[in-house]
Amino acid sequence: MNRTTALLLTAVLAAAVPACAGTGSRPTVSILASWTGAEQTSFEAVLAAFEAKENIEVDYNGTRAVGQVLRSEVQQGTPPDLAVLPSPGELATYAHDGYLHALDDVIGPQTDEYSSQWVDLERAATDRRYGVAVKADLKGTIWYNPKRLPGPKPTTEAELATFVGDLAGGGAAPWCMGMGATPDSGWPGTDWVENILLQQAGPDAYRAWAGGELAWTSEPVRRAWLTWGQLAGPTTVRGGPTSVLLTDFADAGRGLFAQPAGCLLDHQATFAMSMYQGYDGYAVTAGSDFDFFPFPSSTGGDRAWEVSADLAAMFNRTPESEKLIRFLASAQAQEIWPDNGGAFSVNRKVTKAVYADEVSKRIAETLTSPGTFCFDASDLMPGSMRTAFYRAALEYVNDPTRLDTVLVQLETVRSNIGKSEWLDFPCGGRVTVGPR
Amino acid sequence: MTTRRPTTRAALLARLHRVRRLLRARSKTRLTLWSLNASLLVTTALVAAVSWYAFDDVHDTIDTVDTRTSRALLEASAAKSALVEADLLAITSFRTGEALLSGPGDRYGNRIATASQSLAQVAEDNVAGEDGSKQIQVVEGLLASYTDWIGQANAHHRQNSGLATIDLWYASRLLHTQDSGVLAQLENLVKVQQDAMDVQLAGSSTSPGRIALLTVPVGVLLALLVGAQVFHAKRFRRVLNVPLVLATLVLAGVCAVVGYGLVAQHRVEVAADDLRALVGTWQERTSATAAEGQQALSDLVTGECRGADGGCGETVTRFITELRAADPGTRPSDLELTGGVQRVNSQIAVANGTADLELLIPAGALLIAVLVWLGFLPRLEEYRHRRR
Repeated sequence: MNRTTALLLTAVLAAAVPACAGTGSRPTVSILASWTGAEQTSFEAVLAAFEAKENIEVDYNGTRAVGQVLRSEVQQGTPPDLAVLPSPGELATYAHDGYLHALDDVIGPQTDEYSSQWVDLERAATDRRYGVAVKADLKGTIWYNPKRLPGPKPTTEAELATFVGDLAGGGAAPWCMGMGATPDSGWPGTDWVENILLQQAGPDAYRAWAGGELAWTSEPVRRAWLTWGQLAGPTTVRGGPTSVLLTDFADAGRGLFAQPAGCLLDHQATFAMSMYQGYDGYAVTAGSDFDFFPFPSSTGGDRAWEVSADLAAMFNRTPESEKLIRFLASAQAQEIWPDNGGAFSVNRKVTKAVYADEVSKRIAETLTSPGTFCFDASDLMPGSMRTAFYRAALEYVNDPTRLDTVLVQLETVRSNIGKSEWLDFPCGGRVTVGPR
Repeated sequence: MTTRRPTTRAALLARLHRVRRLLRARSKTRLTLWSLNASLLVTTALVAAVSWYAFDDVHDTIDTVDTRTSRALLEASAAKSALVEADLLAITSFRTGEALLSGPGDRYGNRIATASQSLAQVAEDNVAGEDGSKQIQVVEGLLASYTDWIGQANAHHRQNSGLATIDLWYASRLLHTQDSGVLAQLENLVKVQQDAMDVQLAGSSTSPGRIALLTVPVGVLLALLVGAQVFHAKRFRRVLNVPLVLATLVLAGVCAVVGYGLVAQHRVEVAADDLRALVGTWQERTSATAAEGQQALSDLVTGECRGADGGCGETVTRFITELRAADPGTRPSDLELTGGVQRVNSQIAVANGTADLELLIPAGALLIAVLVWLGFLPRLEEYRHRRR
């Protein structure tokens, strides 16, 4: 090749060669969950630890409409590798329909990390483990301001009624309450009924009711509604029924810290801690400004707790998704979110030192202790029943004298739902009956 | 004087040396001719490819903005506007008592239908991929809840139940709640479409790097054409190689076509700025209508609270405080919005007007290749003949 030819070829090559740079790509795993905003940031801290540990990229999708998006993706045959479901009912439905991979041989028995009650719940009404609780909350907790309500707290339902009666004579209303919760306004009321039923009638009746086996007009269910009305009726709630209906559940607790006090007790799940600490205009500290006591149990013996949890499930089994679900189930991952605040782990190996205050430590202790845990019943009910339940709670707050009419209407809805739509979801720690 | 004649052997060697030099020179010329010719043809193909790509890329983007992006953005804005109008109409109907006979009213139903149609159109024209689809699903789910609450309000109103106002409150909160309400989700939908448009425009932008990528092969081709001309002039004593001159002129023509086409990028960027401004105008209209609707809701709800003892609670109190602090702004007219839409559409159409020139690029490149071949052919023939 002579010099001219070489120069020419060089010139042509110089013109032809675009910038080509090879890029290395890491394996990827996709995960869908409902967390956005601050919760997304907290969860992404967990995922970042996984990415650093395994050199696997996580494609996180956070959407408030996780149920709709997941249903759509499953129907199109393109589900995410993993999804975190806020409703155990949905987890159970996907497991029953065969969309989920069982996790027993992926994460092992983990008997030293998860109590048998939680493994029962994670089985989602099946005989295999399909979910991993990424975070959990206790329900049926009553929050108060220790500076305003020092002294012992009621331990029986009768004591609670007396306690509330005594408070009603003071300046502030006994109960803070708000039914607003778009788009599902009314659910804060259903939490009352569920928890009272669980504490009065016990886990077996609760399971039967949540599974469509116990009539709404039955004595235990009617009694639970009546107890709610007697404890927190129109004269004992802040502002009266209209105010309760117009107030968002997240705003209701402000009355605990207002000057002068607006209300003294707030029946809310343990996620209320994050709400209180996020109130603008109030700098409140767990333990000194707010604390909780459990709604008293009337069943005798160990109390059962109503709980909620976000459960991670596997739709696509790949080496990457296996690693991620193993990581999410591990104590290492479960310590990260609680360490940042606003979450509680049910993994027993998560050291209590990660919780910033004694109140959080007590909640975590309860969640990891032996006992009976029952998922929120409305989350387990078919959609039409759940919506009717929410609406019934609003009707009852608006006009408690309509209780019997409301219960008959709820019973009509129940009787029109086919048996196959109901889930037989046992409480954790009380798995005595096989699947129906 | 004695003349020395070279020996037979020396003469032979000298002749052989001369022949070898001659052959080497001929071989070198022939190789240079072929190399130049091949380089010119390859570079011409390269210029055709990069020019076509740049031109096509810009016009593909304009086409997408024209047929999908602008429609998705405007329909999402229209859906927002229709929803706040529906909300205002429903609240007004309940506040004035019309609802006893006609429920939230026909006009409410029409506005909801318009919003649904706009959402369906956004779903069809969505340019934001999965993000856009998810956002649409969220909005559709929340919209179903919204109409459900309005339906409940209607049922309770007919029963003369106090829950009618509560249902309206829940419905309106569902629409207007900051960060998570239907309007906030629609705003996110608009944002993801706008982000997608920005990515589209950046992807086909005439940035210095991309211009350089286009200019380098054109420059090399020009240099090769000039070099070939000089080579022909020096080696074969031709003043001008006419086909190569013509090829150079055609190259200039191709460059002009490409440059003219790329100006469309600037035009569509201007149209995109106007589109963003138009979305802002839609937002002004939505905000003004929303303020009116929220004031009507405030009047309705506080009427109920006064009837009940103990006030309206924390949420309503905060709602009223925020409402007083909000500036409703001015409400752009339908004429203003229609004029804006027409302006944006016509700008995009003008930008897309040069798309038909695209075919001139391969045609021009083909012509350059033919002219180059014609320019080299006589010399190549000559050297092939001499070799024989």
